Amino acid sequence: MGRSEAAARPEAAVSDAGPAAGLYLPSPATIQEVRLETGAADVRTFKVTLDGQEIGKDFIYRPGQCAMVSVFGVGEVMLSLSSSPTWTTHLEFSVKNAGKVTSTMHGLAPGARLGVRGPLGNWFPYESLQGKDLLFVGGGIGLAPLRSLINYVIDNRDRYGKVEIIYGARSPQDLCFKSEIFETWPKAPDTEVFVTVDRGDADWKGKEGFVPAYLEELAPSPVGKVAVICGPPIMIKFVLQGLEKLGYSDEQVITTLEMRMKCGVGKCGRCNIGHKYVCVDGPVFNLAQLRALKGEFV
Amino acid sequence: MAEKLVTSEGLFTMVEKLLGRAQVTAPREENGIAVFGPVNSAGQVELDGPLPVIPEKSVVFPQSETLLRMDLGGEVPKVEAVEPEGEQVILGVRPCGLQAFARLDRVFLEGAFVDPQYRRRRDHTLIIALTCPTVKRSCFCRAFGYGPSDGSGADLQLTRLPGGSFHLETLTERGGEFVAEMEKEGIAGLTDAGAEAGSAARAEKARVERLAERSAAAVSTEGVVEGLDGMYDDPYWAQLAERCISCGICTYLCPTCHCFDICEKARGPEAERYRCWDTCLFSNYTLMAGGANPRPTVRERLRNRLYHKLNFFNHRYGEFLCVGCGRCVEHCPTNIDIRKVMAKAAARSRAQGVSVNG
Amino acid sequence: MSEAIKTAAPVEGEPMPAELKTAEIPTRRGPAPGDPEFLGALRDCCRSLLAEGHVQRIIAYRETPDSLRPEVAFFASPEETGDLVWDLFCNTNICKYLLDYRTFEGRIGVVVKGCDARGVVQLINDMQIPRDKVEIIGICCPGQIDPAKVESAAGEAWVSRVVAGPDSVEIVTEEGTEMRVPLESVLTDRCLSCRKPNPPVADVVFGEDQKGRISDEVFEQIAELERMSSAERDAFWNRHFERCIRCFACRNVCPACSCTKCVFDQQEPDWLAGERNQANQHFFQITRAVHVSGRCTGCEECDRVCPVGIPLRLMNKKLWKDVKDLFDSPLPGTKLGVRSPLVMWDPKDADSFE
Repeated sequence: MGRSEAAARPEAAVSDAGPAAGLYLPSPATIQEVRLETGAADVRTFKVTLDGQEIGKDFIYRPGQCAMVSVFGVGEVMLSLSSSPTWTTHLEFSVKNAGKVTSTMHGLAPGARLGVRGPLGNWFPYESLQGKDLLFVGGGIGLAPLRSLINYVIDNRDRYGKVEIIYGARSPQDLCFKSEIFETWPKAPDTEVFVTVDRGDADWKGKEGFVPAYLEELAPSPVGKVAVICGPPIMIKFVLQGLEKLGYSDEQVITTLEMRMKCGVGKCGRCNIGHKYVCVDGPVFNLAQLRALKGEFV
Repeated sequence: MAEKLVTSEGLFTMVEKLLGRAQVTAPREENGIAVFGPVNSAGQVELDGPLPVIPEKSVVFPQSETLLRMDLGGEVPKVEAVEPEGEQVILGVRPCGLQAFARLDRVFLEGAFVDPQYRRRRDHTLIIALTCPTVKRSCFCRAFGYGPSDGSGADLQLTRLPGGSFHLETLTERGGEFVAEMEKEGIAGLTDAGAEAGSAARAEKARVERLAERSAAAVSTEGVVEGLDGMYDDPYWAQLAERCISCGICTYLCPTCHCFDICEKARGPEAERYRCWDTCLFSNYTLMAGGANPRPTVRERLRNRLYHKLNFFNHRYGEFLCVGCGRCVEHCPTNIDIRKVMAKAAARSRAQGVSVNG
Repeated sequence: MSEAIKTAAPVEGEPMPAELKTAEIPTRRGPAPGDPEFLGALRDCCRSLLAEGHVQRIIAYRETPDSLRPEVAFFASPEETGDLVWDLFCNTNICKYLLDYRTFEGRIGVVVKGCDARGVVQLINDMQIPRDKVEIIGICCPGQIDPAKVESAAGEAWVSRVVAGPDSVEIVTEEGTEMRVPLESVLTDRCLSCRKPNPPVADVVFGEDQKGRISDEVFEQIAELERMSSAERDAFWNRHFERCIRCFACRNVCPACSCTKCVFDQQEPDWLAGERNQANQHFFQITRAVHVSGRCTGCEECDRVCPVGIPLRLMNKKLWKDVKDLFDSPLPGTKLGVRSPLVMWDPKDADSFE
């Protein structure tokens, strides 16, 4: 995976990356590779290139941003980019088979055409996180948006402090990004990965139990640290309680949200939490910001 | 700007002329109901009727419109953005409709993302306003700082004079061009307004403003935003929701409600992506593919709508997303009244003020 | 259709569920609307039902500052019944709220007009709510007033209150002026042709049976529609359906629309696409009309709430007329224990497909 200059300073051209031809017109894209993530086959990662566009040059994004992905003739869905901007050969979307568009996507093979509108939304504050220790807490497919930042941090390793990753899924079958959680990340300098599953199987030698319980057991200190979390609502709820107990302030907890979206550009109205739109003001919020909003999140 | 006088016959001829060159939308009557809708003859235009039930917004934000057209037959999909075409005239826009356009402009045109469909329609729509001939009890425009004779935002403004003729004011350059064009065509009954017609128009405007004064006493926006800031978890929303039947009347008749859905339709290799009106009162609105719904009951959905009108939009854009047209008040099947919500919030704000100050 | 006669009585060998067998005889009778003692008696009745624990909730109406628009209200305790109101502006059909109480552990009282009561009975017959869970407080309805008609009669003046007499109403404006107009000029359209103003089933009834207003206007309009060529009829409905804004108010108020998940709310497949085109508008309107036919109680609440004036009652009444002609069944909601001929099968059913 090549490193690009643009990725090191991705803000350089972002402001110009607005929609020129049409706000709702996607850029043509092609699936290069499809990787099965989970045993239950409900999560697949799609490696995608943009036709005639260079990633990192024509399409510049930051960790935590999203894009609207079109399956033409079926529809469009908001997906978080699970790849790191430091990779310039392709984009990755890790997709759970949930609705009409995603289930059609799951049936697509390399070579199939998609449309991509983006990048959209805000991003993890990767700049202000520099020099800090990072605690990632993820559950199931919720690791996808975190993965973008984790790989970005690993590719810029010297700028960040210690990295701890707590990740859980329902079963060993449901763990995503296995080569990264078991090989790549644990080998990275000053990086620890703690994996747990709700219930193991005959071959599982690792930890069993829920993520919030594992968090409590590991009790990572809040000093000089920021927690970045994403997962199912029930996990988020208990992780937030756990972090509070460990002494994390609301400003030290960052999450990324998911809502039903259609336009992705703050017009269609449906993804609001209070007066903020998840599509343009989010998806990344810290807990202090969320608590100040009226709305239904978690 | 210029003031003209036009007889109703003259106006009729003007509309007939317009029909040849633009899509004309105007108030018309359908089965006893006044609606804004496309007209194909000047005789359909009904300017003296009540505030049309269907608001003006569909000229810039149609119930459904195509965004993309796709040809999926080849190896590479051919996808193109569809631009609205042609010229439009909307005749008889009420001051509340003008205010609503200004709110919609902020949503669709402000900031980094300009909506191309809306931009095209807006730029190609001539707006001819009408001073409200009367003021209903459900009208509460004055609460929002304007009145039934306020033509701001229009290209031209018509005011019906007691004799039956119309006073026609040009308010923009574009409006002036339109009048000049009509004069060139030699419309009989279109003349310069003399001093008499001018003062008759001012008298008529003053008359309807006095009528509107009655509502100003009853409804106020003072403290509404602040009151709502503190009552998100109030049991009031559950009480209100008990009565709400979760239909889309208030949103679809609202001149400023603008939420939409984007859908796909495919027949063989041809497909289209279109948007259509949607409402936050329907449960599907926020239902996610996995089955989770952050607004699972009417309580959350109704509260979201009322907050969007009276609080969220203020925090985002600094003004209300309600313009006081009264359509939701008049047509709610179970008489949910946004003015009462405002009063409730204002009272809460006063109570908060008291507790803070002493 | 001469042999097409059958009754909608329960099919032999197929017992009716227990909740459909309750007696239909009203037990008590109170003063009529218009009687000075009426409102006090109604409030007393509701208060004691709550106080004595016969019901745990009462669905009725409450006064608001706008006397033309009382609001639907839910009374949970006897103390709250002080501002319970019933007058000629209680247009909203409240029977549908019973569905919100499917899992409520208690009895619910409903204050209903003739048309609303049919909705309650239909919900019972459609097995949406058991008869013994509902206390039907019926009112023999003298006809309801359309606030819009009153306001238009008053012109620019704002209406303060309306005093109804037997044949005329007095409109009092905020300025204190008074005007008298004939009652019929301000009654709602549905009341002008209402043949069944009395609750067919009730536990308490207020007032003596009303005659209703016999008008054949609707059936004349239907006859006119029947005489049209199919192209003309298509054009007629197109003109109306074109205005439909898809607010679903007609469905949401309809006592015959009691599905827990409506087909139009289904997302996959999304049977009704969001696009407003002719095919979709027809599909929505006609599907709904056909689905409620044989169970539509003729309350015309759909027609009342439609904000764009689609003459829904013509469609529903036409279908009712056809069902009645084919099966000779009573008007839905007028009798307990009757199931719609269209939701059951009978070997004696007329076979008109030959």
